[in-house]
This record gives sequence, C-alpha cells and structure tokens, in this order.
Amino acid sequence: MEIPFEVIVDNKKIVGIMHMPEKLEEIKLIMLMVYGFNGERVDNNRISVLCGREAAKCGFCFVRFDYRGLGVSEGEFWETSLITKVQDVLAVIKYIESFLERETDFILLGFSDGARVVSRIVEVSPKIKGICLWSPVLNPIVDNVHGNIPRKFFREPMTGSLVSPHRGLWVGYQYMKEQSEEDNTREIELFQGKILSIFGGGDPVVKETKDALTRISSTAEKDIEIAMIPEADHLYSQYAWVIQVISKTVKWGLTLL
Amino acid sequence: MISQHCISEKKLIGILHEPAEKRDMGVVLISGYSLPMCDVDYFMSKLARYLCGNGMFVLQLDMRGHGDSVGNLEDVDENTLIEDMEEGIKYLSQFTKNVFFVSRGVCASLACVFLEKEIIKGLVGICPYLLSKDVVKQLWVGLPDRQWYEGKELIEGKEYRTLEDFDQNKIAFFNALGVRLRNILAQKINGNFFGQLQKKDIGKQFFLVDKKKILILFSSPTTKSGVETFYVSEMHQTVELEKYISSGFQRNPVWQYEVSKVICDWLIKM
Repeated sequence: MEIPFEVIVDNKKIVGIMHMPEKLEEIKLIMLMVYGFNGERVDNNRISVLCGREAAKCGFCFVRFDYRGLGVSEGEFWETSLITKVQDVLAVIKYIESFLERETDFILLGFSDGARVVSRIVEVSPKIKGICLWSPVLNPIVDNVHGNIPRKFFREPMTGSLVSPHRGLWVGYQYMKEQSEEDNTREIELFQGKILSIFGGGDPVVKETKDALTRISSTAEKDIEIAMIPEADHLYSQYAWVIQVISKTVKWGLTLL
Repeated sequence: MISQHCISEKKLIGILHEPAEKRDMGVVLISGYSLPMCDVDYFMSKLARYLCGNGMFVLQLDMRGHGDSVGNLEDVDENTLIEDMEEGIKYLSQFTKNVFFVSRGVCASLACVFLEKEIIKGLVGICPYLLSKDVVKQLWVGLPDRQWYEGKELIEGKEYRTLEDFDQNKIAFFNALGVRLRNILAQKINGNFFGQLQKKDIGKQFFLVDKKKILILFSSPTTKSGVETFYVSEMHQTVELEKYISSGFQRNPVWQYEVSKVICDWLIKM
C-alpha cells in the first residue's frame, strides 16, 4: 500500500509517499530515497516510484519525499542547500519512527548529488545500517551554471535574493558553494555499514567518485559492492537500465533484512 | 498551506494549495505529458504558489500513469487523460464554482472539451499541442502498430545530457506533447494514443470552442518579457514542428516567472 505523509520543517510542509508491505509490524528495515540536486520524489522515468513498488512487493518499506524547495513540497529552490536537505531527511526519519511507533534501521538510497546528503547523514545518525548509491557524485563540481544563460548571478524577482540560474531554477549561493567546495568521499569511507554503489558505464559525471569508491573497496576491509550497468547514462534513461538498477538495489536491500 | 490528497476512486494523488485570502476561483494545473505534477523545473509548483499567493485555490494533479498516481504510462490514452483531468475539476469544484485550467502540451489541447462545462471559466495552454496529423504521420512512417512503444525506440541518440545527436524534428514533436525528453526514454507510450496523434488534429479543439475563454502562450525572443500571447482568432489551426524548438517552453527561470505573471493577470481579469 502507498501512504501519503506530511512533515513540517521550519514552518514549511514537506510531502512524501511511503510504500509499505501489508503487515506494518513486520517491517524491519526502511529504505529512504535521498535524490539529487534538482530531482524530485518521482524522479526520472518514475524510477523512484517503480523502486518503491518493487521494494514493497518484496516486503520492505520504501519512503520517498520532496525536500523543501523541490518537487511539490513548500519552499523555494534557492532556499535549499545541503544543510536544509540533511535537516529534511532527519525530520522524515523521525516522522517514520513515530508513525511506526518504534525505532528502526534505515538504508539511505543516494541518487547522484543525493550521495552528498547521505554522506552527511551517516556522520550524525547511528540509525543507518546500509547505503545504496545510484550514480553518486561526491567530488566538488565547479560549474553548475548552464552555459547558454549569459549572466551568472541575478536578483530573484520576488525576494531579491542573490541567485544563479540553472536550467529553469534559481540556485542559492549557499548550495553553489557547498557543491563547488566539498568532497564527501571521506564520510562514505568511514561508514561502517554495508554499501552498494551502482554506476552507469556511459556516465562521465561519476568518474572521480567511481575511482574513489573502487579504490576504497579494494584497499580496506569494507563491505562495499560496486556494480556497473554497461552503457547506462547518469539517470538510467532506458527501461532495461531502470529495471537492472531496481533489481540490484532490492536484492541487495533484502540481504540486510 | 498545501495539503496532499488521494482524490477520486481512481486513487489520483494531488496537492491542494489553499490561499490565505481567498478569491472565488480555482485553478487545476496539469503538467506536460508523462511528467509528475511538479513538472519540469518544478514549473507547476512555482506557478501554483504564485497563483495561490494571489488568492486562488490551486490543485496540482498526477493523472494515471504519471507521477505518484496509479498505473503506468503505457495504459494512458486520450480517454484516461480526459477522465482524470475531469476528476481534478470535480475535486476543485468543492471549493469554488469558478474553475480554470492551465496545462502544457497535449493535455492543454485535450482540455478544450471542458470549456463546454458551465464551471470552467477559462483555459490557458502553454505551448499547447497544435501539430498537424499529417506532419506527425510523416515523422513515424514505417513504424508498425503496437500496443506500446518504449521511448528510446521512437527517438535515438547517445548524448543524453545535451541531446545533440537526437533527431531535432522528433525532439520538437515531444516538446509539443509537453514531454521532457530524458523523462520519456525509459517509459512506454500507449500505442493507441500514439496512433491517434497521427489520425487527428487534436489542436483543432481550440478553434471549436468559445475563443474568449482561451489564452495560448509560446516563447518569443522578440518580446520584452520573452512571452508571446496568442488569441485563437489570430492563429493558424496547426503550427510547424520548428515552433516547438524556437518558441517552445523555456528552461529559463526568468521566462517561467514572466509566464506565471501573464497567466495570473489573465485569470484575474477573467
């Protein structure tokens, strides 16, 4: 079953969907979708929806939501940063536990830039038993402004905030700074739980992160599985790739139950 | 404040925006075909907040096979789109008897049927689907009839980020539908729906209804705001593919903001 939910964070409402197996009392583990920069809770080609439905069929709970400023949640994109995304994830974790009326373990599923959010969460939350990463980007990205928009900075028309355009969105200064300065590989390296990282063979964006995680998996005694989807792009833009990503993710998730 | 709802027995997911200071009017927002209710660049969410800030009830809705709602895209055809958009109207009619409709691409064109209803006071089409059936048929010559088509079978390329090696005419076709190309490649399009686009001039619906109730918008490099408004009487019944490349929906926050202003002003005047 699919249960819509709402959480208030800092006077703004964030909204999400919980994909639940039939028997709530049997839920041992929850997979929480932590998507990337300008994604949303459905995400490209409905990959999150499909993953949630498959996960629930296999007996575990899958939760996806929109951060403040993204998708259908309240707030504006230029108010978003890694800090606010982390706050939102922690608020959702707290909400889920109050809904189930018990503490539980979580797997975080970080998609693309969402891997950065995951890296910050695992530093502060002991509830995270495993991490699954789809096309993770953990290294600094220095130029996220789209090339064909001539000016780098604008004043957002309604509030006057200093923002930079990215496609149809205004990006706040804080988020741009975080993306261009932070390398979050170390936090993943220090994580003690199980890790699955999936990369597309045709994805140039993840090269640095892939090299880093491959190095970590080969040199340390860590439970990291690296999986490749040959020729797949960053967002898995073919049906066969979507199915492979979901299948690998759910199978791996079941090993943590 | 927003609230999330499961509306109708069809289990469609919607977000209701309730204004603090209320006008007696409501707006149903429908995203481009295959896209979730927030739409590309969260355009419909931004528009919803803008309209709600100006006193309107707003409903964002996922139709079947879209976003969080039940079903898959391959089960979506003209009939299901119209049925589900009508559920949105029914839902919003609980709050007001003055309902407006705003949509992009093919859903805007299909929504013309609602203008017969007393409760529907106006329709805004943002780059609505106005392609000729003959042009569409020409694009897909040789394609066999099938129950569904995977997006990548219809348009091929490898440069997924820039789309520079994808066929430009086919990109224009998908733009006209209101699709974000990267969001359709791994989904399946209903064969019957696809076939209807080659047999019917869907956009002609605009020219059969009360023209005073319609606003059509495209982008334009020549206007100061970048937004070109059309009144139906000025338009040809079909437009060329190229218009959906040169004058289609812009992934530019300034343009999207200007469009929101134009729509809001028009709705208030109605």
